[in-house]
Amino acid sequence: MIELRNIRKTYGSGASAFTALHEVDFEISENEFFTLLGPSGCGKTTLLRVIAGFETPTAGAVLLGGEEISLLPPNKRPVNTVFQNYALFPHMTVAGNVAFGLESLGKPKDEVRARVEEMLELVQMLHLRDRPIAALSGGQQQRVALARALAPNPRILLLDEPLSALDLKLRKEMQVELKRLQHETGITFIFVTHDQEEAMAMSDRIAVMKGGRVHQIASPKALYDRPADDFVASFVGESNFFPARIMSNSDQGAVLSIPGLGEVTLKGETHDTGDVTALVRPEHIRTGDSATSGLILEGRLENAMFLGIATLATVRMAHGQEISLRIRNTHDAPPPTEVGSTITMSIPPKAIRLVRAVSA
Amino acid sequence: MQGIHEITLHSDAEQAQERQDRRTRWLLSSPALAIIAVFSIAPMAIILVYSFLEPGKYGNVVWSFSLDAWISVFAERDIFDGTLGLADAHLSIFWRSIKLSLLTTFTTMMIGVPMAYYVATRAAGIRNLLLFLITVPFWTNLLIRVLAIQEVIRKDGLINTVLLNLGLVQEPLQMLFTDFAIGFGMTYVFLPLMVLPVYAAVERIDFRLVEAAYDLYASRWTVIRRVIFPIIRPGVIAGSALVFIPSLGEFVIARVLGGGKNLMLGNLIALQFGQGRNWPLGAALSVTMLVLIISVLLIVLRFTKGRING
Amino acid sequence: MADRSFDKRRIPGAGLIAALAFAVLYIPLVILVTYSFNAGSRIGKWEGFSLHWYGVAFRNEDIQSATLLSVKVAVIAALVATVCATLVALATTRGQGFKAGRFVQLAVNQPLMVPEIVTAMALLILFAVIKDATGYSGTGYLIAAHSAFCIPFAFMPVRARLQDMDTNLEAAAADLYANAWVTFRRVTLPLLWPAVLAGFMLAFVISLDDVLISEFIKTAGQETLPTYLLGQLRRGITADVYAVSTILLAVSTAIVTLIFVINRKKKPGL
Repeated sequence: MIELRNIRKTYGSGASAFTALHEVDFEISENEFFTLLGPSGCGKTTLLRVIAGFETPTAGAVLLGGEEISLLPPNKRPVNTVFQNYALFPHMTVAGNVAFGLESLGKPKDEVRARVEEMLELVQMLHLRDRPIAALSGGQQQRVALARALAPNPRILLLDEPLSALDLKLRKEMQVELKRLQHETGITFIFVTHDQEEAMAMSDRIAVMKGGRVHQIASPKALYDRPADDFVASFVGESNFFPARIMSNSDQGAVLSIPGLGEVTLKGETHDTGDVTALVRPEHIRTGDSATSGLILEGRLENAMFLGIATLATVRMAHGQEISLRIRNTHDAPPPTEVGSTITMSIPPKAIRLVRAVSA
Repeated sequence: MQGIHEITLHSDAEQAQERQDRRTRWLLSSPALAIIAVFSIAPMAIILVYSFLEPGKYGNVVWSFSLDAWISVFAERDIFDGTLGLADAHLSIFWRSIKLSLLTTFTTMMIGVPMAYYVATRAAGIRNLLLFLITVPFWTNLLIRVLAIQEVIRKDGLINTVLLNLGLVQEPLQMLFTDFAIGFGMTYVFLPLMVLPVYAAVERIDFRLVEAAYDLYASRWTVIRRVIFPIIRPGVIAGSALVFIPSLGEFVIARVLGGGKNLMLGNLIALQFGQGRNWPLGAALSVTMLVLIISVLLIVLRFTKGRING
Repeated sequence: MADRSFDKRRIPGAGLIAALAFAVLYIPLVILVTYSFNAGSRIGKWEGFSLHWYGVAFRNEDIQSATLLSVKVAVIAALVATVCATLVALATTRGQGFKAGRFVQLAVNQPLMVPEIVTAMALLILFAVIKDATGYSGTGYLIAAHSAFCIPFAFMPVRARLQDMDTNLEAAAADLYANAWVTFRRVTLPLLWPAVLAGFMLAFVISLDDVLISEFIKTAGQETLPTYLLGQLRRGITADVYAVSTILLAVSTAIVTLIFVINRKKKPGL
């Protein structure tokens, strides 16, 4: 439904020019919960502002339902925003804020009133409709901001890190709430965040961005299981990276050699021979009695952090490399805790992913 | 190809937008700029031009170029032999103006800095009340304040009455119409100009720094000298400039409390446009005052900038 | 509140100096106000409470006309200055890309950098030229001069408020389909209003207080309240001047109080 075609955004000119977005090109479909994920300064907010109309792209086009809207001002776009600090009008009541968009569109009074009521009902704020904004808590302001942005029934709702000001418990509640709202309204949500857990929990698809470029667009599961490169892998979840080499391809699969760890056959896979980066998630490494197949390794426990559900351990190999492990804590198999003890581990071949190396 | 086409399309639109935006901003600025240009900036230009003309007989000017006004700012032509000597009368007025202004700056600093510090370190309620009490006289008509001072320091005013009743003096002291009266008046009137910027600076002090200094075995005096004062120094410098500059240009206080004999630069200038009837000289003196003040301003700016960056 | 615990903020002597300074600031004003209610005419000799001098001042036609002129000039000049200052503040504080903004702000503050006596003399010359050319000798000169030096005072609170204001509020209005005018009318102006009012009141007080510039540019027969008082001061004062001064003092105190209250309330929530 919304298409971004080769969007580039450059600020300034000449030597001081700064390009915030490099040829961003993808589309988002109807009724999708789409997340822009990346560290601060990755261009995710700029991209959101381009879609909202607060920034004009230097090059490229924004198409909504096939129509170019790149040059339309924000007040002519059927797109509404929930701002990071909510930007609620402090001189109006809750209802006044929610009515603002409808009034600007010149809707008749009865319709405005009914719609405001409906929206406040939706976010469970109807009982506070006549309160001034200053009298609301952070979570309540968040709900009003949502109701205000949803009231004009936009085709797309943009959310700029809307949960970042809330405490952890409220944030979890609002995540569920946002999913519910998106489901009930059927509006496309474009959500900006730097919190990968939040992105994973809520999104249908995630675009991982860095330095003004989109590194990968995929569903949360695909992003985690099949990251396109080492940046995506390290930003989404925890990772062990090993410099490695594809030695050959046989009918069994590709033969991968990891210096210091050994050789393993990646069954059913074919890769070009040469240097690669191998990724293994800490929770996919087995320890103790179950460490029986694949690459079997030994190392010295450097430290162990008890996290409740799991223990996060760092093991140093004989050749010096450190490996992170996440060991599930179960009642019958206590995790290793004695620093300096020898740990036996195994990496199943299926747990190894080859990723592009883009980070230094 | 299509990409290139779009680039030009967007940057054109953006540029047109920016041009429109700039036009609007200039349009919104124009009424204020017009008023200030005509009634504040242009007169400065006129005064500069007038300082190079000849005086007319009954005030005003004769339109012919002359450096006489500028020469007579600093020099005097002997009426008998026509030789040039230093203009003692002018120089002594310059000197009195600078001396009184420096003295006023110093006194307001000695009073205003502790006062600002005290006010800024009170609890919020008292602090706002005290701040309000400092602000009220500041916004009170200058003449009322001058009048009030005059009533206190007159021969039969409050101070003399108290002193006589206590038997500390036999004769009432002559305070009105002296340099003391001018200095006292200026200190009274300009004190808030010192207190307010210093107050703002003290308010910004992070008192955890003071705690840290005490924690590191500093004495109270060391804390004042090495932690508190360096932080409020920019405020003190700003306050000094705010006091010194209007002191140098003061007219009303010197006129009323100085009694017309103890002239300051402002009175000398006014005299040239009144009884003196030498507009070019008045203009030249005005330009001189302006240059003096701008130099002080520039020095202070340079000084505070270095302080803040360093 | 005995000084039992160690007060890290304390500087010995600061409280004493502050107390003395407050006393010196207020004693003369208190005396002035007190003697405006004196029944007798001699200052320094209390002869009982009376509103006599207020009556005298009230019936004095010179004071009446001077007050009228002062208020007229102050209202018009403050209005002109506030409108101009608000427009220029809107032009120079919102958004980027206005490179001349700094220069414009500097120009707006120019009247603050020139000593009053110089401005007074310069305007004297300018108005003499205009008077020669046009023959006009009305209150326009006072209003024009006051408008100019009031602009920076009206500008200060408005600019400060605009700089504090969250630009996202205007973005949010645009996002919610409001055009530029609706955004200004429904969001910017209501939030700016207290500062505009404070600016107006500051400009009003500044205009009302001006002695020096008015004294030199007024034409024959024109007296503002301060120039009238200056004239009286030169002649030797009668107690009705105390009464007028007390009223002026009350007016400016009331206005300063109002500005304080407005500033206190200016942060609703966000």
